[in-house]
Amino acid sequence: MTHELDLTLRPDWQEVEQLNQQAMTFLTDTGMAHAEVDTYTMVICELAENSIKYGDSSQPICLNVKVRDKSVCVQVKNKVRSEAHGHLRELDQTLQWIRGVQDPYQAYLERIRELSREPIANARSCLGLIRIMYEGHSDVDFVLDDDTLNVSALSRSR
Amino acid sequence: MSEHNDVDHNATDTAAPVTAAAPANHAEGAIKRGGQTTAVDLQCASRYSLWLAYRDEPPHPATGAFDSLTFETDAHTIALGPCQVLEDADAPDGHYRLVPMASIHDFEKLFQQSRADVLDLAARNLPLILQYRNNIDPAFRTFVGDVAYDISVYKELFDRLDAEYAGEPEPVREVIQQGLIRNTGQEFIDCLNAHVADMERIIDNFEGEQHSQHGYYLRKQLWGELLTAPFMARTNLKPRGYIGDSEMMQMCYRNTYEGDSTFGKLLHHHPVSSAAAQAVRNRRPLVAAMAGDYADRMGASADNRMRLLSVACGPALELHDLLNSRERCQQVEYSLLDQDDLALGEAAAALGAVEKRLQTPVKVNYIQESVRTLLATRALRERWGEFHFIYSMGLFDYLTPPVAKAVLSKLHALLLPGGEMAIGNFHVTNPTRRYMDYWLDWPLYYRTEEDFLALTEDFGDATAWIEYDDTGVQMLLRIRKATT
Repeated sequence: MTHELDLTLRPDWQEVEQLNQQAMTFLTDTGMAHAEVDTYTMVICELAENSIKYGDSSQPICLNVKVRDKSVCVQVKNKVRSEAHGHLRELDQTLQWIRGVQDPYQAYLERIRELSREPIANARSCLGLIRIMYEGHSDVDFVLDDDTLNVSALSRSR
Repeated sequence: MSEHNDVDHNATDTAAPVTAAAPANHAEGAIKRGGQTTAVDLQCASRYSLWLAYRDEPPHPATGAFDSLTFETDAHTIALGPCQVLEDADAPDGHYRLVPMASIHDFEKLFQQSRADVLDLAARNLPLILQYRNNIDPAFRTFVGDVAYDISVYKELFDRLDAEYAGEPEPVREVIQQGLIRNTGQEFIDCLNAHVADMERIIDNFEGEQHSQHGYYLRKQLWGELLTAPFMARTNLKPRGYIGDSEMMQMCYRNTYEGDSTFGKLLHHHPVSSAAAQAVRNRRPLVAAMAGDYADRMGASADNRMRLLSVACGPALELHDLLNSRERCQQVEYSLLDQDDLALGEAAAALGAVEKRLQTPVKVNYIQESVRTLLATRALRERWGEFHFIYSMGLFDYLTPPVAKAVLSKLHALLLPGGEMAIGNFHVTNPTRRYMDYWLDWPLYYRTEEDFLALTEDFGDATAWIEYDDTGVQMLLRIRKATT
């Protein structure tokens, strides 16, 4: 059985608190264990925050969550401005590198080390996404389709 | 000779960097010894030391060990633990050199970039990393101990034998090494195979992240030995920042004994002779045959070229199989896409070899772009045109379902009516799966037939089916677009 949540959010930080509540209620209603509810609520909110941070502030964010017996898939879509494309190239490289490290905790530590060694003007943390991979037990991936950014987090196992 | 177009980088604007205000290059602080605190002025002296001047009466002695130093920069309050104050001939007048003994900050970064970076940061995470072994299954721990023991015995033996005949002329060394590989080497390979089979049995009931934790533990124990094998070193270290790069593919294609020692050569050959590597080799003639068959069916010619797109082309060695005659070379227009300029260079070399051998040019476009951002190119069709045949062999194994679906949809939109696609993905039953995960640190997205076909469920105008290579490991999603 698939449980599905579809939401359209304003790209506004104030939306995150309400989203947190909505996500918890939805996930709890699927019959998920309490710890999993916390985990995937974090995943949903991190992805939404990422969209607010890098997305076009005049365009809405579409969020979709599918909970199946063996997987949870969170997808967030929103428009991005062309200025963000440079960041997406970095994100692409970072995610491919993390995917190549099977243990996300090692990637998390390594990324923190790398960030501390970068000049502050270049610092683009991606830490929220790495947190999803490590604490959220999910694989993060993205694709840019025209100017719509589609970021997804797929649970590695339930 | 070639009709090669320049690499299309699909350039987009990059974000302008944020300009940070220039930080001050000095600070005021307080240094403590016993119960005595003394005010100090500080400047960066070197990456890991400071120039220190006492603002008032210096402590006695002015140099030597101190308990702590605290100071403020523009962005941080820094508290150092024990440190040493030294006389230094290079110090400015009235200054000493201060060197921390713990929390060893990078002072150049701190003062010049307002960034706190500590040399011994990694040591702070040690307890967490050491705790990792508490999660390891006892049977697996015993297994890894046995593997490490056996491998070290074989390594020592082969290294000793290598040293014994090292002074022989090269042809003699080569023949002796071939003999070792064929005889004692086979015993070592049998031993490895037995251990891999044991591992499969022990981890059979593991779930999810247990696999990544246990794989990490195994690699940690065998790290030195794994690095002697060029293939294993490459899959584990990922020198290009991603898994499955074109050199790894080339190693699979070569399927030879490579390395600096007999032991390294044997360990290198073990994975490149596995079922998964055989599947990589099998897909090369397979995709060439599919594309060649399409060219024949459409009656491709110099005036009616078959337009081919290879996505994540890697070294594109299948060009040797497809472009096997002057006529075939004149029937096609190739577009080769890869994120990695080194891979495109290797593909260009493969094409150059074909052109040289057949003494005819091949029409080709090179596109350097990641599949995750290539779809950002508005009007892909206008930019690159439409294609009769699109294939991608080693890409979808790394894409999550949502991204795989989006990429496939865009590629499908680039197909001409009646055009075909061949998309590779390893099957979930790959017998080498856990060996790749644990020993090679090479995780893939494995798919079932159902998973793979589900990526096409929104294609109203297409027929989709699944084919396999001889090993059954390499699954191919075949798609044919409707003719109208």
